[in-house]
Amino acid sequence: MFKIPVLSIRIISRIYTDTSDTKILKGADDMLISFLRTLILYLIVIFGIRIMGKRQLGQLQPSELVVTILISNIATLPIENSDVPLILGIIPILTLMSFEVILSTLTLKSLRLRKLVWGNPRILIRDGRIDQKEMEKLRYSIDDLMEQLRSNGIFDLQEVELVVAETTGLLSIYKKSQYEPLNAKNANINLPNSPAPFLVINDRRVLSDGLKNCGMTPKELEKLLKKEGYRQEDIFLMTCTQDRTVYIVPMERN
Amino acid sequence: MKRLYTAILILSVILGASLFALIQCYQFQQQAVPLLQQVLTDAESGRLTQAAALAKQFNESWQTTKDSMVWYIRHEPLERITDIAARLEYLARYDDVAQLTAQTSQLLICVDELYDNELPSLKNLA
Repeated sequence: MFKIPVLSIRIISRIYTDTSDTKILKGADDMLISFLRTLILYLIVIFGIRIMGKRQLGQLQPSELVVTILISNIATLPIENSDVPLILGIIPILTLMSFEVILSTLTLKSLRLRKLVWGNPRILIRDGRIDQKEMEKLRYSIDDLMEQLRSNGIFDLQEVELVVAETTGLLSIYKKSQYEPLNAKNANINLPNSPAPFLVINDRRVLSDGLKNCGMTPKELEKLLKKEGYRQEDIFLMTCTQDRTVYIVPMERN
Repeated sequence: MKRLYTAILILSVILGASLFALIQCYQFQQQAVPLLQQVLTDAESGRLTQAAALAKQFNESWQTTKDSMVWYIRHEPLERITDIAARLEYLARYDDVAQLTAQTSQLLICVDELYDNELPSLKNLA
């Protein structure tokens, strides 16, 4: 017959009867619960941001900014307070995320709604002249304007032809043609179009999207590597263009 | 479009779950209130054995309900009900009528509040 050793019984009973030990066990439980809750909410927030798409990670529109701030605040509530059920943290996050997706889809379809939710870009400088009324409407000070121009590498207002305040709050600047940097177009030089390079091997792993983008099959890649005298396992980074111009960075050997 | 459908699906699940929670609270209130009122009547008319039996029955049914409510209701009001429900049977068994009626009345308010707080009313939204 199976017997529980007396010592084990003593230890178990001590754990469950001694208040200080029980407190320690409860503390450990709380720590584990807090850890698991944080992990779950972390995954939910990542899922939410992923569902909201790439736009959420770039420049934020007003509604996207609100959603991002709200989500980050809501997520902390069930983490901080174990009396709040996890679901009461998850539901607002998923609701905000869903409404954001629905709203952005609707604004894609309706220009009027887009204007209503995100506003319009406003012209602050037109034909080199500052629109003071527009600046006042946007509560944009001359310091704000100069700061944004300077951060775009413009120190002289006379260089600017057009400045647009975008709905994200950033300024888009169009310089007068005489201040534009010299390029092939304004120098009237005809250059052939050079295809863009795509990342094909990233730390010894072949990227199927990269292969597709440069119009290559895995067999062709293998042949190309053989021709260049490399094995896939020896390559740290490889880019390739559609006309098969490759750039390879081999792995450094220790 | 996939994202839009996912968002609509998530919203539907959320609304479904909220409705389920509301229905569960309503059903519990509908079962608990007559039971507790009976405990009160029994206590006031001196039938303490019946009151103890009903209090025990309430406590047992509450234990199972609590396990599912803990998923979506803040733990504090649930703990308050657990706390009072655990006392009722013994108050009846050891003839403490004053405490029994007082605690049962408090429990009735707690049960009512549990459902009222779940309702999407203006009062709760404010």
